[in-house]
Amino acid sequence: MATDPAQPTGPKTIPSITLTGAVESEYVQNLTAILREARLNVHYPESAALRDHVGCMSPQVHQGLYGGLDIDRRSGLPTYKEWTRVQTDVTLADQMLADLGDRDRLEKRARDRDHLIYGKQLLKHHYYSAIRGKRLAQLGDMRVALRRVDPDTRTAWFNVVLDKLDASGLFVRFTIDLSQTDSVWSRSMVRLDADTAKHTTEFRTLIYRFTSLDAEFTFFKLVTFGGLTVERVVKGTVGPVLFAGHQAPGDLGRLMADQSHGFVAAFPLDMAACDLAADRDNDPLEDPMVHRLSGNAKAEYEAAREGMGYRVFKDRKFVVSANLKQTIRDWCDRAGTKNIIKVVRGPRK
Amino acid sequence: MAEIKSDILTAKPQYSGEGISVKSLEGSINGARQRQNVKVGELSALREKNIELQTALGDEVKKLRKLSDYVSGSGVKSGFWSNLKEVMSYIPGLKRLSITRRSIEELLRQQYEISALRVKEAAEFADKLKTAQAELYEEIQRLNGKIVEAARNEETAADFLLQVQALREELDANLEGLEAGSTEAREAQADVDKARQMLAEHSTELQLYHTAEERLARLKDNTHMLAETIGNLYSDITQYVHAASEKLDLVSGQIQAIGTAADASMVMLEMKRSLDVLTESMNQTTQFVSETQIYFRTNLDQLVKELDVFDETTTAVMEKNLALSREIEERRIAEALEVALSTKKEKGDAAPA
Repeated sequence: MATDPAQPTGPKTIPSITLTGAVESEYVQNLTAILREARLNVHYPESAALRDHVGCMSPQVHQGLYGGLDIDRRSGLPTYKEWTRVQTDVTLADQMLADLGDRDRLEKRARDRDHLIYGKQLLKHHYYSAIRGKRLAQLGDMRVALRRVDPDTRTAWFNVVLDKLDASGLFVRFTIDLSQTDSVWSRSMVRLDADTAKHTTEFRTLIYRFTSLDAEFTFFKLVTFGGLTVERVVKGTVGPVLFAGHQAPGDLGRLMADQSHGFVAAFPLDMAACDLAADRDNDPLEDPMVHRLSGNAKAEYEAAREGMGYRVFKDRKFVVSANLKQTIRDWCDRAGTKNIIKVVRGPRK
Repeated sequence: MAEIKSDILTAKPQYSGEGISVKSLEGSINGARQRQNVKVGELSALREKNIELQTALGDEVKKLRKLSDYVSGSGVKSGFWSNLKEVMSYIPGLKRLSITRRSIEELLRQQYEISALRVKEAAEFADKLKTAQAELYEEIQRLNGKIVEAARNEETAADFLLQVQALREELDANLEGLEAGSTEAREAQADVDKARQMLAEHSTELQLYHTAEERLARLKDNTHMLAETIGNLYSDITQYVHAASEKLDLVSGQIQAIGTAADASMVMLEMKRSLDVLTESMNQTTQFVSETQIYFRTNLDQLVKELDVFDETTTAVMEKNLALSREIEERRIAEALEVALSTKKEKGDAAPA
């Protein structure tokens, strides 16, 4: 299989746009304000970490050390490259600051001498000082917490949280409550050691691959995989964030097509759980996964679902610019859903 | 005659700068040497950093190559999945990983994030080199200022010495015509002694300025060599880092595309391409680090050695000058006058017609 890395062919990259200067700055301000206004609960990726991560991308923070900010057109969020860039810089910040030395000396040198590198070194000192120690969004991290243990039945209950920048360009958090009986399954998904619980790489991979699925499918897959009793699967998603003037796919993209300015950010929450009284769908966007099933598969799925006894809840909150509030409200009304729509006031273009 | 004598014997040549003495010259040269040594020390530290980078990059490239080889052979070899599992054991946290479309994405992401870190370290390394180079060029400018100042002062001293020597010859001739032991002869002898003292003083100054000019020029040459060395390294690493960054940009998009790809064969093809690009990216950086390593090994040690030799040489020159000034004063004066005449002639020859 001969390939030329320099001349890739076929669909190998994602659609993106590079923002620079004032637009870049406004984007970061808007996205930060959107995330703050969304008031995300524990079922979503951590909002403060996301905001700090985005804040590090601001030209006011990097002060021109980077040429611009690449945005994933599908999600309206920064591309994987940008999230990684900040993660790398924060990782290196302490080491870089130690190497750069005293700020006063750098300032004096940048002021007194005309070589560009001295100015750049000073900017780097400002940048690394601003980002050092920031707690950033997790691009792919799983944590397992032990909830309780029943020694008689050798059963342990766990809470599993996976945060990930998904391949779709969206940030997702999967929260899964499950139990595992040690003796019935040789392929333990979660290892118990004294007071700590740790997921196996096999389990991580299993969940990791489900991030593009919804909560119900993940629930279904986990149960059918065997050995686990699943109580609840919750998927909280950050995005997409769509800005007027930029082509975007889907219903929201069509809604935005006629707009000259403003933005719409969506924060879906998707839950499959055994303790829900009834199914409820408060998401105005259709669920593509269910509708994609063939007739036979759908019948099998429905039968299995009855047997598992879970219910599904879907919701979606929105954060929009003031000019788009009514548009989104009307659209939700037409879909028969009652959604939270919050408005960000401030710079928006 | 009396007026001329009075003017010269009471004159003080106008040297620029802070004046010069054996001690101040030694201090000035030592200061420049110390600054040079600091830079050499920094280069040594960079060499250590280079070794770290090279080791890390070497490991990464090894993993990538193995992965790429296995993926390349997947179409014809049996047991591909088990082979790939073995390869994945190289990646922290991915041991015994089930191979799925998503886990391939995870594998690539982990590798990409490590690669991004390495390339960033290399880029920062380049900026350190650039800063070191800028500081050395500033030192060269400073040394140039000192060299010009020493050259001017040498010329001033030479002019003055020639005037004093001419006066001394006149005074000697005048003394010969006077009655020995007479008051006039005693006064003339006093003037001769004064002229001789001035010759001694200013020939020392001439010698010091001459030595300073030469030694500073040699220091400057070495500093220039250091700056050029660092400049070349900077140029090379910048080239590699740019190339590696471009490849990483490409692969970051590919990784997300792989995550959304549905077709298994397409995923494998994409993975192979991404691995190739990642490998190339790492190779760009590794190539620099490797070449730099060779450069450091073959040049830096030699450079330091040469600097040490230079230090011994300059010390020897200084000791020789001091011995001359103490023990063979007349000869030194004669030599200084010879230098003065020679300098004067050179300046005259070099002057535009």
